[in-house]
Amino acid sequence: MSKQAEIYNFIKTLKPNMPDFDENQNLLESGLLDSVAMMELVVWCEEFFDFAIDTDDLTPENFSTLKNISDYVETALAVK
Amino acid sequence: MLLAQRFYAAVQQYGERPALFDSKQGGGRLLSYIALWRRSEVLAVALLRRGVKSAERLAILAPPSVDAVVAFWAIQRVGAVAVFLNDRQTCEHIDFVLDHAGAKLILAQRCSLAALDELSPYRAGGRLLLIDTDALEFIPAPLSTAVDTDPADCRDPAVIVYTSGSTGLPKGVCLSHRNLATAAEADIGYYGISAGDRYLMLVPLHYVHGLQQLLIHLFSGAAVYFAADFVFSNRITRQLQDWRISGVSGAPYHINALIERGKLLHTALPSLRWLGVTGGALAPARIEQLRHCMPAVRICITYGQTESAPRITALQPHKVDAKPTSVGAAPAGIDVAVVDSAGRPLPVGEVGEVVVAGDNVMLGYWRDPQASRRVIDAEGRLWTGDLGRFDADGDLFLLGRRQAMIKTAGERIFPEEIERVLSGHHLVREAAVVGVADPLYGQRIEAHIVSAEAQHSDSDRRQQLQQIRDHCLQFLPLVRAPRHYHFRSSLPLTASGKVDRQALLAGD
Repeated sequence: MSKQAEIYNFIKTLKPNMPDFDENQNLLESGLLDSVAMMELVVWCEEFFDFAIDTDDLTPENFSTLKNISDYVETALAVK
Repeated sequence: MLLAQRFYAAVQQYGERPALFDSKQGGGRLLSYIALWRRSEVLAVALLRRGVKSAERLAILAPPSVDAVVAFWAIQRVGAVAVFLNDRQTCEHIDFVLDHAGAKLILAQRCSLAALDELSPYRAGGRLLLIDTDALEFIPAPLSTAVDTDPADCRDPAVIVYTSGSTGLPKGVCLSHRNLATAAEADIGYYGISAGDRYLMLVPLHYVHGLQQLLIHLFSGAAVYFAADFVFSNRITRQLQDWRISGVSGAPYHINALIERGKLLHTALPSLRWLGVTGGALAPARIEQLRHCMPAVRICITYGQTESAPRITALQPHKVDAKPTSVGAAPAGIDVAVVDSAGRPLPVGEVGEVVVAGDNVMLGYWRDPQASRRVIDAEGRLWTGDLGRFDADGDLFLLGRRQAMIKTAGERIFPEEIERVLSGHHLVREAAVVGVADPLYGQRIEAHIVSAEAQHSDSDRRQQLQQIRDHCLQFLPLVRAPRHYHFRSSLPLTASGKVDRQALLAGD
């Protein structure tokens, strides 16, 4: 399974009946995730992909959409 | 004095000074005292046209924002009662609160409605009023002291704050103008708020602490800045720096996140004068770190409850190094005592229940006189449910609660609220919920469940767990849902036959 698909599946578990969303949808502004859910997602990414997210990388640019998140994780793992 | 009158005095005194700043709107919007007053007047006129009368309840559904504050003052100006809704809650919860409060109208921002489609009956019933700036029709009206029709009394309700209740249902804490003003005056003195100060609001306005900070700053000529969503802690730290914030406060959860994920200790913040901790204890090691890295910043440790608007005690900042685990003493005008079960004051050093008396003690729980009588005695004292002891200097130390309460991610939750949801699932025969210490959330919620159906395999167990988890997330927001579920054959009981939460926590 691709990293994006793994992340998508995890986000889907954060709420029952979570509507489908596309990779460019803003997860926070659309109300799909709240701040606590986003924190869960960040912690899950660290554990699942086994790397530490640098505080400086914790930005809306890296975490606002599914595509941003999977791009960020790919890049971070490549330089690990 | 009514809250709106108190605020109007500030408007007259501070006129063009900045009152609010909202970064989420159009790249940042600053509103002066006079502009805030005028905006609230436009909405107040709209409320009167909708037939709103004094003492009626009006709900606000919006994230912390300029529009939410405008709505609050509009409600105060027509003598109505403001009910802040938690926009992160489920529709079931919001429905319950609207119904229980008998809310006439819901003043909502579009963004809060997006996640709450089920509120459409209210929309259809004409009970929804959009408060986004661009949704309000501008009605030129003269600047006046109040648009109020019936004079209200300072002992009348000003707001109802819904909190988690030990029965599993939310309770509406009814606070009068005098309740809030009494606690506000005490806190203005304690934090030393003055004109020109800038406060960064991290917590929502449906927390009484958020409302209280809003009031003390707007009464003093200071400005309230609304932080970005509490998601990216490093952005919050940057806002503290860029906006030259002089004061900030939050629950231990917020402070810990700013330190661990937001580089708070490694950012130069020359304007920051005080940092407030409320709603739980920050570890002494953390306080030491803060003191070491930012020696010029006063650490303000306070203790309060929604039921006391919220001030009970506050620790003088110069005592923080010597007594980092104390919550300090009561301000003038508020009486705090530690008493035995018969209500008799106990000598210094002895542990008992903390009781509070003063003009800050709530009117009672909305439409629940029985519950009110359980916490306010014949002498008007509020029984907090917190256990504590005083030292010889009159500083209070808290030692726990009479009833179990979980504090997670800055939220206060009674286990009964979650247990009630769990018990509503057909697979759950018995359930008990505990708060387990957690480095990120303060406490994390864990559920212990006795299944109503046999589990023959791991896959049975996984399937049951999945169903129960989905059920919880359907009826509870993520922050209030259990993180972990444990199946067991029975729940441990105390000698009196109640669930033994201590044993669950100890892993028995």
